[in-house]
Amino acid sequence: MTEKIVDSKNSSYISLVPTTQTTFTENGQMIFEIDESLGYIKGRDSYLVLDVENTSADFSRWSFPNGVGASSLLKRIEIYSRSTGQLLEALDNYNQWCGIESQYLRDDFTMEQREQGVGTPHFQHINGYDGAGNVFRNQVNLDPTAIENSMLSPLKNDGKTPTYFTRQFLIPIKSGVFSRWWDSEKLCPVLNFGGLRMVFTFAPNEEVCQRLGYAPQLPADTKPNLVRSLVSQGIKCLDQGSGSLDNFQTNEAEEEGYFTSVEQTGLVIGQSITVTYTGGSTTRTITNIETMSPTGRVKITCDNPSGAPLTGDLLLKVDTAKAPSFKVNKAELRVLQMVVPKDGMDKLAKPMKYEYTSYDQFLNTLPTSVLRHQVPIQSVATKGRSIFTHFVDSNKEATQDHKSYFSGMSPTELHLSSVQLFINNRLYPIQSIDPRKYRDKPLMLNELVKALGSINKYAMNLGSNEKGQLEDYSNTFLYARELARGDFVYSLRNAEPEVRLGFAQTRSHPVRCNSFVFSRKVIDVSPQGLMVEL
Amino acid sequence: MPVQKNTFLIKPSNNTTDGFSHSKGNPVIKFSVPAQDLLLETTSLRLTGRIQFFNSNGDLISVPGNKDALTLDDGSAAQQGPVNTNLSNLGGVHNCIDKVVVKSKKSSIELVNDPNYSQQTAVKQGLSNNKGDFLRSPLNRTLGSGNNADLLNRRLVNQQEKGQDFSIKLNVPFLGVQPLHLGESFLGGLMMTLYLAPDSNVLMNRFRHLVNNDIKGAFYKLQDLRLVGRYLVPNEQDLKMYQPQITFKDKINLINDVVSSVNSNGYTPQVNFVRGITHQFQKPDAINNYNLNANDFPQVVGLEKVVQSKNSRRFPFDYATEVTPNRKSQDHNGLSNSPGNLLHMSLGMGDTEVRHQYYKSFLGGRMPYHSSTSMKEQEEERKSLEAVAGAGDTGNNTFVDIAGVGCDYTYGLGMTQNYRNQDYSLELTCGVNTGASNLPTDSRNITLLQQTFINDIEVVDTQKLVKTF
Repeated sequence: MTEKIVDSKNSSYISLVPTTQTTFTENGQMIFEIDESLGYIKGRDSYLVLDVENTSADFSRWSFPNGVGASSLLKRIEIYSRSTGQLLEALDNYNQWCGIESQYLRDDFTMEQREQGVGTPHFQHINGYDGAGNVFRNQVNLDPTAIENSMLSPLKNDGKTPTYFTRQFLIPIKSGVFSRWWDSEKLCPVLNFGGLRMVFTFAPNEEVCQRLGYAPQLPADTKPNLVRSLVSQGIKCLDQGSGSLDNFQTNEAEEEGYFTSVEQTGLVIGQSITVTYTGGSTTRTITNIETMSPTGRVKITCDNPSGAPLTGDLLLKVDTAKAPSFKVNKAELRVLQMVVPKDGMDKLAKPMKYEYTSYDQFLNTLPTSVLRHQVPIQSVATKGRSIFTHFVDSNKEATQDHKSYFSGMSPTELHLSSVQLFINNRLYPIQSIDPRKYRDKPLMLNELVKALGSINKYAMNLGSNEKGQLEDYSNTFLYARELARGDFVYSLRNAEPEVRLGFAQTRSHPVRCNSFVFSRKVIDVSPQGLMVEL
Repeated sequence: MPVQKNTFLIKPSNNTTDGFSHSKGNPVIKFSVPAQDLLLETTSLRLTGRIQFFNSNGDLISVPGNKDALTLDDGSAAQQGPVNTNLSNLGGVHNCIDKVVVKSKKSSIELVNDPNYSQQTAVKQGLSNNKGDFLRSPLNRTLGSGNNADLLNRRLVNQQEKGQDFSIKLNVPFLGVQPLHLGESFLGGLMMTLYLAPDSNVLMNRFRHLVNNDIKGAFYKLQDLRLVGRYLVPNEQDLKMYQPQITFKDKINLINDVVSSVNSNGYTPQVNFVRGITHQFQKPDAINNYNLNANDFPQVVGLEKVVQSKNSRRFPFDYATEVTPNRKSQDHNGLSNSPGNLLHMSLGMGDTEVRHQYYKSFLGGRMPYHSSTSMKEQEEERKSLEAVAGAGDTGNNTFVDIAGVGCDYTYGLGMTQNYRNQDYSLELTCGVNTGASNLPTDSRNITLLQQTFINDIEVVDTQKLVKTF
């Protein structure tokens, strides 16, 4: 096929800076104004450039959550018409959807790791067999020795001294209006909208930062994750005596496994740790970490301001009271402005209907004791495309080492034995699905592939198949349902949809059910102004 | 579309029983495709053959008696020969081709002249395939090993008896667009000439710093070469539909140097339809050198800022693209950046956006879907380049990076820019020739070779045999 030649004239990338301030921290708002004089922009090639720094108080090592990357910084995006103030699109829990979606849409994360810092591995859970042949399911923790996980928190070559730089990350904007992320690649007529005002709300530190820590990543490895021990249970240590009692050796005889190098600990000099001993606990600051010869054990040396000896079994934990924090030192929005031929500009001046796909989010809570539950979807969208429901363990929503906010819960963890969509007084499918492992898991994944297809996204990755991974979901579990395919739509206005859930057992914690409802929306541009038709 | 298809197999017109070798004679391969009233089906056209590798004594390099020896990475004296001779990672056998020239048999006008063929093909393969891909198609057909080079590259060179078979599709855009009419009223047959690359640009020492392990003088030979494909037998309707003007994407190669820390290079490409411009940078001794991997394209040393302009106006980016962190950045304690002192050296340079622009420029507005430019590979490459001889480090050459600078004018919509009598310039602020102590010792005091590719659209009239840019 011969090539089509079109001269691009003066189309070019322009850089916009925020209208408010230049640096941002958690929960801050970053606003960009896109002037209507830009005419057309190509949103899908536009992106945010953020220079991010790890500013945690005790210099501990943090990364972006695995599989999510720098998109975790953005909690909410709102897009307004600049001239009328009309809200055109609001994306709640934006970081959550980005984290979930990206797991399924790529089978090579090389570029996402480099540009967005999504880390490695990209999946959320490790399933495998322990030494006795029992299936275990572990959360994925971030290996501190991997370069992909060290972008926010690099170390000097001694493996223990932090040297944190501001680092540049690129974030594509997955928005309907701006980039038509879930539609074909078309231009955004900024002129018709009277310009755009984009408001980005940053997420809290706990959602953005995930603690680095050694984790045996192979499913066949039967050792539990040390990082979990460091955060919650603690690692048993031997004290070294010698008067000050300020040296701790990680104890390889313990069942937790053991560190084999300084950088595997994920700890750094200056970091605060908690040591529990017989009779109490104390907070110390790490002054050195080294590997001892010939045992290969890692020795951690701390300050000892009180001089009091610590006795009994020593348990070492990271100081979880030292919260993470990030700072965005510079932010710019790169916009690809398209200069269109004159006849294109003529069309711009006329009334138009601009159709795009976007989502609305609906929250629900699943109580601990119920065995049946209905999740109501209060959407009034008339052009529904698909529904995705994500389950979050409220007890682990944003823990330092792992975040259920992104990784969710599997049907087995939920004891979820039946799901069915009740819509327009009908049940879909006629027989409920049991999404648990060894049951209807392939059917559930098939539903997910269809639902992603209805928003023009094609699932390239349904999780890891390595070793014991097929035992359960390794990507974030979603209940998904396609509402319409092709050019068709499904009206939810009077359909009163419910996701009906049945459980084999109760749960120990309340569970949040976040439903993302994707639908087509239309911005009606007329002489009377702008109106968004749902 | 013609239904009847006839397969053909063409041997080189200058074929000899000794095969083709750059250093041992016969460095040019000529294929003559005769004039006939048939269409050449370019999509099925492949170059097949066998590649053999020899040491400096002219002995075929073969698997040693103890096959386990191939698993050794230590380069000990006993394993030096078999382990150390390696083929450049990306592109595989494509690396043997330095230049491709295609002419009509009726005229001496060159319809295609693709210099630096091996380099652009290597980058294309690296930005289209990831580690898993290389284990399948590229490895089996071109012998490209990609990110698996550290584990299996030496196995490509070491062979039992006759060498390794290959089958490559020539990366010549003119031969990939549409069927070509070979009749007298059109092309009148084709003359295809392949110029072989020097042995030192195809083969490399696996371990740079093992002096007893030098493979200097090793060479390759191409044997049993054949151009295989199919002719389409057109009917009357096919001939009516045949488009004599062929429009295709190509690249024009230009070479320059980066000589200083603020360096500006300009071009007036004299091309009407430019899709994008890409630049790759190498140390001057990286090509034709057994001691370095010719497929390694690291980022400009100490890069801080890139400004690209058209006609003295910043274009297509109206801003300077900055590198954060760069060599002048300070860490959270106010200490200066010294990448050599980092656990992960490549984290000392945050060239994310520069690479973003480069990848898009190379792939016509798209980002790589599968690629061999992982951060892990880049880090291994960085550490290998920093390896100091005599410090117990072997200097493993099998890791490569693919970085550069560029701009895309297609915007993913197939658009172009006119560069007829118009100027392009690239200004780099970097660490070249600064001698700065926080830059790698092997590259802070040298200039860099700048390989520029103008990605353009060209038109060949197969009746008038005229090529326009």
